[in-house]
Amino acid sequence: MGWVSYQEDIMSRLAAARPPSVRAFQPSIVGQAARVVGSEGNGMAELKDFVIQTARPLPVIVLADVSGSMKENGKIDALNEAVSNMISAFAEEETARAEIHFAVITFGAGGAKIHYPLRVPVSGDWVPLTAKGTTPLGAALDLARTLLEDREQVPSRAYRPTLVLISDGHPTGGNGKPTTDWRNPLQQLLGSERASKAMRFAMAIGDDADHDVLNAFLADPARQVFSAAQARQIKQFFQWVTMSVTARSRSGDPNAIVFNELRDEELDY
Amino acid sequence: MTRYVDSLVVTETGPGHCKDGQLNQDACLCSNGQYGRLIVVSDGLGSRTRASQGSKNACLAARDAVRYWSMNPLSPPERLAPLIQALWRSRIAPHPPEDCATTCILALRQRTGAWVIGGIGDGLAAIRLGRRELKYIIGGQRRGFLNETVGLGTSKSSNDWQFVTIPPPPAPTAAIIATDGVSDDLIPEKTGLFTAWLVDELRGLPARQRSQRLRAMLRKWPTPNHSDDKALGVIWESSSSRGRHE
Repeated sequence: MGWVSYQEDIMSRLAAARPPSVRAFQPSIVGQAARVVGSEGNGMAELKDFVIQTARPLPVIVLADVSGSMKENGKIDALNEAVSNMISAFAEEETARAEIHFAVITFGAGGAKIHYPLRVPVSGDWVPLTAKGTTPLGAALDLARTLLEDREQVPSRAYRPTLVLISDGHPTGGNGKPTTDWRNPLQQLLGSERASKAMRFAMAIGDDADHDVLNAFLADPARQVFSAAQARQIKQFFQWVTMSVTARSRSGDPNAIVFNELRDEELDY
Repeated sequence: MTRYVDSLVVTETGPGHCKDGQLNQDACLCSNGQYGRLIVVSDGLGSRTRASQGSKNACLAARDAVRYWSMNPLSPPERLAPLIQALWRSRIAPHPPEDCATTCILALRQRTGAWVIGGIGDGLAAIRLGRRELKYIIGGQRRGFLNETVGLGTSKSSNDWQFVTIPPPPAPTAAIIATDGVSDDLIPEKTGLFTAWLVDELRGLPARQRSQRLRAMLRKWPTPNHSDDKALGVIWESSSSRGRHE
């Protein structure tokens, strides 16, 4: 029991236990104020009129590299399958304490875009990604920060968001040449009040992936960038992220669960 | 004009802890003394091993602190913070404060008619002045995300405490306090109306039924998948004799 009992408390409760008089004659500090918000048609308010009717969200945002190089070796197909499976797993999660909200931001031809708007995922609700163009990571980081700072989309009653970055190359500018214009957006993300609190994970695909960039994104020497030498390991990484998120959504404190680190050797069958 | 004061505070174990067979980690206290009418709620931080013990002792420490603090009418409310801290540490000894970390939020309606409201950590502490104005002392808009609170046992700065003194208001007034299991699900723009509605719902009932009514509300909390422990309290004034004459 959380009630703390002691003598003064008993006095207080006894004092409040007088026989009630007729309620209609009680002057109120509120008068009719609470009676105008009712929704039952009789003018009487109910508890549900004052309480949010949706579960507390647990946002998961994937930043997906869809540059031209992702076409090679079946990487984009593996990514599509992995994300589609992740959506299905999240959509089937019914016993969770938190409601998982999912979004995908892509960066490739045409810059960074919200491919899958932040919402409760629905199974089969995935339009496959196509790989084309350069790697404008800075624009994707800007978009992620804007999304996480938007209190309409990610309310303050949300649990700590998860941010997953997956890339197979170096950030490039509009001319296709390597660029450092991702540094400023990353600093802004890491310095922002809310976006900086997201749990961040990163996966490098293939030998060309820039680990320095992904490590800078994690900004935590204790965390590691996951490496996938082959396309099938993308699926394993997403399965692990899915399990971690669903475990968080069911746990007593969805912010506090300790992630079991996925070791590189576990990525192989 | 004569004012009457009444109050109620309850706590309920959340479905999450009921399911796991764990103790309620929220606690509450209602007290009436020379200092006036006091209600306190506290929320033991979930990841701490002695959160339940910490929250109960926070309520008792707050009561004792108010008792000592009120002996000097000129003492500013900021002095409550170190008093609560010291008394709480004394109560939980020999356990480390980190293991017992908890929030602590109080509302005091003094016999003079003045109010002292505030505390440390997430949750809600607000006062409804007149028919429209709701003044938040704690709560309103959270800066980050859920479950990132400071509290007794984790705070390193006196700036984490918020206390406000309000001189006797001209019109009957109500104050509401709650742990985040309640406050995070309240519609922010309707919290003032919720306070008024709560008082309306409770004030006509006998004491036992009041408590049962409020507990039932917390048990049947309308937010889907809610699982947190909950504590909610309200003090209200009225110009009729339904409450206790201060």
